[in-house]
Amino acid sequence: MKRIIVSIMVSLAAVVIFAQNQPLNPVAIASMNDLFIQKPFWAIELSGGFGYRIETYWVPIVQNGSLTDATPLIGVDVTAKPYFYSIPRIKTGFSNLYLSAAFYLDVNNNSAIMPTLGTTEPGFFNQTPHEAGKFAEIGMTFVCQKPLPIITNSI
Amino acid sequence: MSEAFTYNNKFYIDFENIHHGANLFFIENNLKLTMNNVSAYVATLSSWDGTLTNIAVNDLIVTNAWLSLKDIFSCISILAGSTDFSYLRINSLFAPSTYRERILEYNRSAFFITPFVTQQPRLGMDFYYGITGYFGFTVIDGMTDIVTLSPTIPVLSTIALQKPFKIPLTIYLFTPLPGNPITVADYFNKNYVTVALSYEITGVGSVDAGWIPGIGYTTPGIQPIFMTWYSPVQYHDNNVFFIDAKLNFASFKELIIVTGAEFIESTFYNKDIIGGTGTANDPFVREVLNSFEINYGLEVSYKADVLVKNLTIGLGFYINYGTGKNFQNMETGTETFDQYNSTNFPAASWILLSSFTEENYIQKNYYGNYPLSIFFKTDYSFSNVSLSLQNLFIKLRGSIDGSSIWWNVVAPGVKRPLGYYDSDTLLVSGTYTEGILSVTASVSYTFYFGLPSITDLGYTDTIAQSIGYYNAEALYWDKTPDIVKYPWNITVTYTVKY
Repeated sequence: MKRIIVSIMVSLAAVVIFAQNQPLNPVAIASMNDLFIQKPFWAIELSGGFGYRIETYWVPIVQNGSLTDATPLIGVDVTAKPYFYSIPRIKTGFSNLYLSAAFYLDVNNNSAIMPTLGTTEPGFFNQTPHEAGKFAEIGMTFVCQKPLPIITNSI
Repeated sequence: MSEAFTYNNKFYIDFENIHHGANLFFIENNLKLTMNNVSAYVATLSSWDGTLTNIAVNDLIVTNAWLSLKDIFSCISILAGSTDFSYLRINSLFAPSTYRERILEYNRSAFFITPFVTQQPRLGMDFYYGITGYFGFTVIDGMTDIVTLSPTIPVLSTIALQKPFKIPLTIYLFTPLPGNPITVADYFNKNYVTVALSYEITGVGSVDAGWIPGIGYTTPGIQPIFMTWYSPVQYHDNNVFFIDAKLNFASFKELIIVTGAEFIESTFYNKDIIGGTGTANDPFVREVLNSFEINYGLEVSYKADVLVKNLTIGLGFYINYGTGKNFQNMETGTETFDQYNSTNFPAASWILLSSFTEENYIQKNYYGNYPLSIFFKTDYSFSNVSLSLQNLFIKLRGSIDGSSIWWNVVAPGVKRPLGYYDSDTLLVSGTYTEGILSVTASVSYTFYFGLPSITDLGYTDTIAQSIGYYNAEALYWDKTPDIVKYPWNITVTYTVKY
């Protein structure tokens, strides 16, 4: 209940501040006019490599020292493997609406190249259990901003 | 007046694995909205199960979400949510900026897991910045360690006094909302809060100081542990104080110095009972003792163009030290460290290496410390080539434990080792760029110091052959842990862009 009340209060504060700064006849933040603008672009990138490294992955361990003496924390275990990987990528579309695609090939599943899951940090496919070797990613991005985003050929 | 709206959708297919059943794909969505001083972000991840004719959402998690309000009354900013904490303090010059990169670096070198110059030990960092306060880990379709929004909602208030009062002081108040009802005493006991001040000195740099309260308290009554009763019930102190400085003199811009110290004052129970019989009416009486830890770091980066053009030199120096815990108060009984070892690890079947001292045992086993670490880095570039040379020395990098994977051979005449090893990792990398092509190669080699020899372990060809090995050397290397057996790390990567 407390979390709900706080969430509502924060949302209300946001709405009030937001509303106070709006013109009387607000323009829709995104409209059909915002699609397919500027000239289309495309970019292709091929990256890859090979290597040999100690593969480290996290395992749960129990660390003594808390009140209950049984707080599970994260430890590290290691083995070693060579690896080889290749990632073709393509990105195409308009400056504010574009598609991207990538294919990840990781022989021996040890290159730590797999994409993050959830956009934030360590959730990626070959952390634990380091198992993905063939992986596809298809993405779509829509950006509505003024001035328009600048497109470069980077992926 | 600014407004922006960004929507990202990603669709993932893992061709190689079936995740907990007939998993087909994952979908990630994130949305960011900015209107003037208000911006909001939400990211979700869902996994889908089934067959093409019968698809169902298997799991849906919010991986990140935040709401940011900036420049309220020209001086206050509020950030609710998010999973990052590196903005609370001055950051290290050498640690990677993202958490993912730091984890990869930590996996490779066992160092630079924290974004701060003090480089506290991994377990310590998890304890007061990690798993509970700023983000959570979850499991989705058998894949562990997926970052989610913490059930404790982070709320950071920033009060910058420069604009309204012309004082170059910024106040950070990190006051997360607990996911479950807790008492005020617990709120200030479990390292939820951070209070930090940052002061800018024009032409010199900035200084920050802060406190992560872990204020201990005692509750009346007794505590049952496995049918035995204990008193007092102490919620231990764990106060973290830090002070950092970043110096970048206007008159000497080539030099950047970052230094910081972290002081941790905590309490713990003496493992030896000082009274009572353990019944509810006469509980065991526990003694509460004090512990103190210090983490110190000094980092220097110098653009040495005056010596050689495009040459940069970096140096890092780090110390972790803890005092208060010792063998007597952290183990039950009155045995000394030496007595305990001679009883449990008799010389006939164990060898205690010279590194297996009580002081090292305290620092490594009770505090998880690297007492001394030294980092050196030099970067140089010319025409299309850039080169980098790095060296990282870590004192007490890890334990040599003959009861696990470290030469754990049990046979007549053979000894199992106990001790610690130091490491030194040397890394050389180079990048060549020519038009659309870029190639990077790197080689690293880790030296381990303090390992036992074949003679130390008592291996002979006769003993080795009696347990199925060709000779003593074959036995030694078969029982050597992988981390020592494979000290090489080689990487070659290329990128072609059109």
